[in-house]
Amino acid sequence: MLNIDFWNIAFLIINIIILYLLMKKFLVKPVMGVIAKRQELIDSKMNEALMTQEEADSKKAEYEEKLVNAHSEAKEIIETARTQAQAEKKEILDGARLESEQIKEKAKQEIQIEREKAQHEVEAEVTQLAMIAARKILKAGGVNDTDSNK
Amino acid sequence: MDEFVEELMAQLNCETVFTIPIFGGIKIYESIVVTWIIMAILVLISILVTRNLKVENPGKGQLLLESCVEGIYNFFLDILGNKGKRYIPYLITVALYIGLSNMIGIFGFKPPTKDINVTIALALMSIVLIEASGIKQRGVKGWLKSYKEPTALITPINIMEVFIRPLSLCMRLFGNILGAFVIMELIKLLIPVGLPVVFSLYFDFFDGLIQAYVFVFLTSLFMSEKIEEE
Repeated sequence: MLNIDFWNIAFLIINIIILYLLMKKFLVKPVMGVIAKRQELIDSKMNEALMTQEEADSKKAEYEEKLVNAHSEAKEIIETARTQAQAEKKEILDGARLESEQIKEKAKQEIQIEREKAQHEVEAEVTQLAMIAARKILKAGGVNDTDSNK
Repeated sequence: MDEFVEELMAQLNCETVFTIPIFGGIKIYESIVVTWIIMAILVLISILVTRNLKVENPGKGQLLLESCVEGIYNFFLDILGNKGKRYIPYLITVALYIGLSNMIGIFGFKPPTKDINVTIALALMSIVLIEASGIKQRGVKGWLKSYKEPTALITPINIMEVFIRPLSLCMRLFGNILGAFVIMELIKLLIPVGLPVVFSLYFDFFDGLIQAYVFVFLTSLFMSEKIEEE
């Protein structure tokens, strides 16, 4: 119990050193290694997740911007189409008005011409009729005059 | 009564198991042999429990093992800090060895820690480790300087501590286990049925583990003192 023995102390120290090496190899290293590996795995997964999230966020922002752009573009297209249509409508209307005016004018002129023509015709007819009538009268009057003169 | 005293003395005496016939016969004490048994048990258990470690989806057993080892590891890490990381496996080894040594009495072996040679060896290793960690961390000059801290006045006390610390470590462990052993023998003699169970719980398990804890705790505390920069 109390006999101090150099060799036993030395052997025990050697034993403890051997036990230390064995425990380090068989207990501490494997367990702490697994824990460290798991930590690494978790860290890498975490980083990955963060990166994916960032990517998704930037993509989302990009798409939102694109959507806004598309909206404004659509508005612009509609606006230009509207103004274009307005201009076209005005042009067509103007053209139509002009044409109708022209047609009206032409018709008026034609009517005028017809009327004048008709007038001339009537005048000519009247003259002719008057001439016929005059000739008839002249003819009849001559007979009567002779008769009366007889 | 004389018979009992004789038997107790026989129990207390560390028997020589065999003698190596060199240098005029080296006697191998029982404690060394029991230490071999403890080493074998520890290594076998270690190999058994670390057989199938998985990084992903660890089982319940592995989780328990991991939290135990990590808990002990972090306990030392808290005391020693990152600079003392390399000493942690040794401290874990000593804690397991002393813990199992103190409890091995329940399997009918004589606890090796009851032999003063064992505690002397452990205390020697502790003080060597304490001073070595100081030298490693601060260099020989810084290590020598640490004896003048906090003031040059207490240098003699600091030097005395080099001897007092291992002595107290050694004697505390030895005395506790020896005392517990003697008391257990007495109780067993007095009432061999029932009662020893209760006391065994205290003396073998509780006191044994507490002594293992105290030993490595103090060792790591002294080490952290030496490692710490001023």
